[in-house]
Amino acid sequence: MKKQAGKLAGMAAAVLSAALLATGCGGSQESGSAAQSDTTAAASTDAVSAAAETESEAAETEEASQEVVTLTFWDENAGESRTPYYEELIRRFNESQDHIVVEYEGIPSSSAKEKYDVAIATDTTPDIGHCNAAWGSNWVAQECLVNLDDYFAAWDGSKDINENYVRLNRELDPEGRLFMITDTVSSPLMWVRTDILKEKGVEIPTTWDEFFDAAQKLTDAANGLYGFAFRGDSSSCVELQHVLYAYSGIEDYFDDQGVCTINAPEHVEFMERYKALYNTCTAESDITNGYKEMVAAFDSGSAAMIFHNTGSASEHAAVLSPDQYQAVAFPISKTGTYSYTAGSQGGFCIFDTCEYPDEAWEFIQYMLSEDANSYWNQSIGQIPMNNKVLEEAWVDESQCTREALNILASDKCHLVSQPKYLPDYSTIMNTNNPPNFQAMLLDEMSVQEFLDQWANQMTEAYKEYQNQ
Amino acid sequence: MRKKSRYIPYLLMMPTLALLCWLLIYPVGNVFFTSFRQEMLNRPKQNAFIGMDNYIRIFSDPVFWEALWNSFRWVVSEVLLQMVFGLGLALILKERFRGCGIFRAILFLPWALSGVLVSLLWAMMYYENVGVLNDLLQKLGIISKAVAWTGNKNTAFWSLVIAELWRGIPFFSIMLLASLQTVPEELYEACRADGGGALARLRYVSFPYIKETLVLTTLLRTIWEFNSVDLILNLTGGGPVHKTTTLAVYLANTARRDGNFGYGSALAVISFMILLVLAASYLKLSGFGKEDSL
Repeated sequence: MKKQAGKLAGMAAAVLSAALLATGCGGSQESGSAAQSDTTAAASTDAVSAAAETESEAAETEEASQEVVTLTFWDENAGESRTPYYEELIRRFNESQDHIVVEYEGIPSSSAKEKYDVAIATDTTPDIGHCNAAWGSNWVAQECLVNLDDYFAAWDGSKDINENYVRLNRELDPEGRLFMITDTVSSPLMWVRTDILKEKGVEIPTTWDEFFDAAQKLTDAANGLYGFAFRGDSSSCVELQHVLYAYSGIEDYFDDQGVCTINAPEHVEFMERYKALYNTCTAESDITNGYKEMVAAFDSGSAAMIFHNTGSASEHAAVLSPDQYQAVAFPISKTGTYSYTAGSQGGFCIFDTCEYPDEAWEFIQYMLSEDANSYWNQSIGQIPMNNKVLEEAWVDESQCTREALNILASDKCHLVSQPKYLPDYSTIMNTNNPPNFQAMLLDEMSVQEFLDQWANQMTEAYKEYQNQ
Repeated sequence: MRKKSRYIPYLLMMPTLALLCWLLIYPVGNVFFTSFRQEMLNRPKQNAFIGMDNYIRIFSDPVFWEALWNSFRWVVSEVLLQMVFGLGLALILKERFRGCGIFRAILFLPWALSGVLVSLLWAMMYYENVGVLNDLLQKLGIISKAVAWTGNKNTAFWSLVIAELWRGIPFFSIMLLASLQTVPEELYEACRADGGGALARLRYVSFPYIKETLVLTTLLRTIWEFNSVDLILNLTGGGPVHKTTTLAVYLANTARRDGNFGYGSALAVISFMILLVLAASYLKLSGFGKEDSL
């Protein structure tokens, strides 16, 4: 349908051009005067040749529109729980198109950033990419993305896309341009094994004190059961950041002087208690736990609680029955609010190596449409970004999506904006501080020292960003 | 006619030389060049020539020194243990016994497996809660509590050494077995006739024959182990707290994960220099190839 509209628009443009040329409105003054003296033979010859030229241009345009355009699409988090759904959506899109074919390429999340970076450095990027917003500012700085402002403004469906996340995407660029469009968001939550809690007679924690108590009561190390499992790999600080603000209720990542609040006394207090869980209420190997290990510990029943976003919903659903587990909000913060750092947001972008950005946008439009956005988010258990989808029945039926939306809709909820726009954000979060987190757990570094270093790096990066 | 034949050999060599320049000299030269620059993917506008700054930073970087120390103990323990076990197995396999063919095939299997697959196999064995190693050791009463083999700072390094040992021993066995099979049987018989025992046969008959192979394999393995990253990255990622970060892992993480190609290139140049000096000294000290030139 859109393609037909595109063709009609193309034809209309061609006819309009022909008319403009024939009447001389679009040409130079010379052609304008020629058009005015319509009695001269020269003018009629010009008009005939212009019309012939226009016809041939229109034919070329028509021919070009019939050419099959192949676009490459990279998924930054390929795996069993996502790839089949992307493949299905791409199949549907390709079938609806005469001249666009999208080819899917999945990259495991562990190596996605590197693969994208190498592709950017060597000009071998795909036409369309789906990526983590935290990488966005880095790519904007490298000027390798296509500005989507005009496409987005001209699209009828743009009014249905979540405005807040469009704003967050604009924050990735110091000039506020739009280079990425979010289609899905995963909200940070706490996952609990309700079956284990029931067996041990422990209630689902609603306060942080209850959480720490529950972790202790649920632990039965001799039988391989731990109250909690955390992440120790390069994403450890990403998970930790969500929890720190959820505990303290601090609403701003930087204070008025531009100083990072990650080392606030409330966060130090939390970290001391959190650290005490290691190797008592958690397995010792959690210190190097990746996503898979953490989720496996939860799904296999060796850990009763984990912190993770809605993105792991499909993994739990594949192994556990609905009465065995539940996604719940983080306990209420010290200030009585639900202070939430915006969860991981994934978005589409078009790389500047793409020869057919119009066709690439067609695909992005399709993926953001109600049908596709609904299918995608329902399948992977995340929060849709097309507002129309939020009214669908499945959203209410999906326990984790409902829980996440309830929190976000709560009067007590405050979203803490993470500085993903800082070019150094990924380096600070995924490279510099995870080893320090491990050192802190092993008593090679104090909690205060760990958080101070983290805060200093963020403050420095923020200052540098502001001076740019 | 004569003039023509003088240039033809050079012309024939040109494609190979061009290919070498393109595939070897240019990339290596580019690494040296990049090591004097700030080349960071997240700061493209600040990329510039910075002289020796990357090198100066390296020598004050505590992670570099820790990685260098880890590389040293990794290479020494791996090459030494692989050589000793590899030689032992080669001596056993040299003998003819029933089923030796099958035994040889099974023994060489780890060498044929990919690094990622080996990592997965060992990760499953090392799992704290469901790993077979803890289960076995607990049942045998050797340990009372499950050990986080790759998560504990005291066991992580040696757990990796064992996994890599399992993969590397067959290489030595294959190479040394091939070399041992060239030793004429009469020499062993002569040694036996002179009253030489097993150790004497090894020292005076086998060793002179396998010396060249031994020097070459240890040198190759030293270079490979120094540059090895697959198993370490997959099992521990260099953690906990850099306890298993070797120079190659640090280099890979700096350039590949962090996109800091300038600093990564400087680390690569340092690694290259270390290996160059090491290889040249080793070949000189071992007298490699001298027998052939005599």
